[in-house]
Amino acid sequence: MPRWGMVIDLLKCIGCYGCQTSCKAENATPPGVTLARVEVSEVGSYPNVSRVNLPLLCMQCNSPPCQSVCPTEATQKRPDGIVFVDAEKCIGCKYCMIACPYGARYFVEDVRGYFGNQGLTPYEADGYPGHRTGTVLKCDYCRHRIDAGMAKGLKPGVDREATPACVINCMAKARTFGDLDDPNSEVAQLVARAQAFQLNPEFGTDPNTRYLPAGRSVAPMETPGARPAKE
Amino acid sequence: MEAIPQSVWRWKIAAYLFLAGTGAGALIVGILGDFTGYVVSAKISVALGVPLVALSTWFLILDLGHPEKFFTAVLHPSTSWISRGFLIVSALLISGGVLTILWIWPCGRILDGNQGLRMAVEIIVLGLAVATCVYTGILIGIVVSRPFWNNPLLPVLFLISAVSTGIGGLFFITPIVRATLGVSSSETARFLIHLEWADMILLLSEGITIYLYLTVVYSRAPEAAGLLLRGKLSGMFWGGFLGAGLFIPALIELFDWADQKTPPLLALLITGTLLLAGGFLMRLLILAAGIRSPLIVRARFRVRPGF
Repeated sequence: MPRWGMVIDLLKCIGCYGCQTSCKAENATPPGVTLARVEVSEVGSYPNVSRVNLPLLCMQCNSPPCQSVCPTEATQKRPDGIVFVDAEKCIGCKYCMIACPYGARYFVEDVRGYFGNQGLTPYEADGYPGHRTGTVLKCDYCRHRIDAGMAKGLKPGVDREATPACVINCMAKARTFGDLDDPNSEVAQLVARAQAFQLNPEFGTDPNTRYLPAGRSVAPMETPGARPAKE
Repeated sequence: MEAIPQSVWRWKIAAYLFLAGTGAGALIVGILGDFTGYVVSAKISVALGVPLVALSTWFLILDLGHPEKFFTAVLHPSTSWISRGFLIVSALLISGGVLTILWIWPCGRILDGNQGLRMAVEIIVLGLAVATCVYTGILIGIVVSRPFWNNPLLPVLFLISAVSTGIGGLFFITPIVRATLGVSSSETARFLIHLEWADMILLLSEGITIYLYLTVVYSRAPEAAGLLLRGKLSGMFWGGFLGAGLFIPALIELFDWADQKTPPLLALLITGTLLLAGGFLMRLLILAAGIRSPLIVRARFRVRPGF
């Protein structure tokens, strides 16, 4: 059984939002829901200032706090490590959104679309019924692509058709996806590097989404970074 | 740039935490009142507690995306504090309901005449009421990535505040009960004077706990604490919660208690209102200040995730 994981090289990320856009296109997420997003941060103080792009998505934690707090067992973890929400079981209590340290979960208030009174576009009308209003939505590494691809004998992380949309659309090739338990996979080799890190390991979540640092050109800084549009 | 308050759980959850705490607090006050011989006031307090706890669940359900499926929230008590809370609050509603029906209305004579059985039921309700107050603090206190909440003092603070707001509820309702039912006695007057003294101690403890709480969290969550102390929530914190919700009611109680006479109805009404408003505001503020820890990228820069 594979254990899917992703490595994002922050040095390669140019902040083009291609991952965010391709995720929206792939998953037809309604306004306000960005399962993959990029937080842009200006860090440091004059004259040592730098700009950092931090792409974020569900960390697919090995110990997901969102799963343990879920009162209805709507949040589940597959044997391959993918954490997903069973929308039929979700009652929309939002406790998982409170518990997730990475802001990776979104409450689907409504699916009114991007164009207000003009109604849904054909694309939205086709994609939105897949999301149940009043429930929580999150990134699941495009498990529909992984499952469909594997059923065809394709290899996620190698074959585009079986790989998450954000990975295949990253023009800087900052994202690498694959089986963390396969020592020959590119993703496992990247994770084995000394610089690879998890976001805030002190939370004890043990994420399967890892990062490579941007910091070779950035002096160590302790200033607050980018603020969210909202908390 | 100032941190942005937490906005996933807002006033409905604050109302849930507040009403569950106030209802449980009123039950605690009522039962302790009965243990010490103040039967009439104890009945008023118990009769107030159960409806408040029931009302609290309505706000929790109202906040759900799918309120019609609220009963499935009980499915994961092994790890989820919402499931555990569901069980605790349900048990409190059932046992408190039994106490109300068999002691107050409509079958009040059953437990009136059987002190042993009444005490047994009251001990169960008392335990569940304390568990409810503490649980409301644990519910958010276990979230490790929100350091402002992740503090063992939070359940203590919620317990103290719950009992104080329970007293506030009794203060608030006593003039109404007197006016509508004509229930008034020297016993209730004595009980109210004792409660004013007890509430002063509780408010003092609450003030000390808040001070310790903020001292502890300030180093771990300076931005969250800053929101309350000098940020956009500071007016509500200093003026609303500490001033109007803690200091002024304590002052009124001090003057009343010094008189040792039946507290004036207006004073009771004002004190009760302020205690209740302060309790609600405190939960609202604590919820709002529960912002996430910044994300640390190789300890070089920090990015706070959205929501």
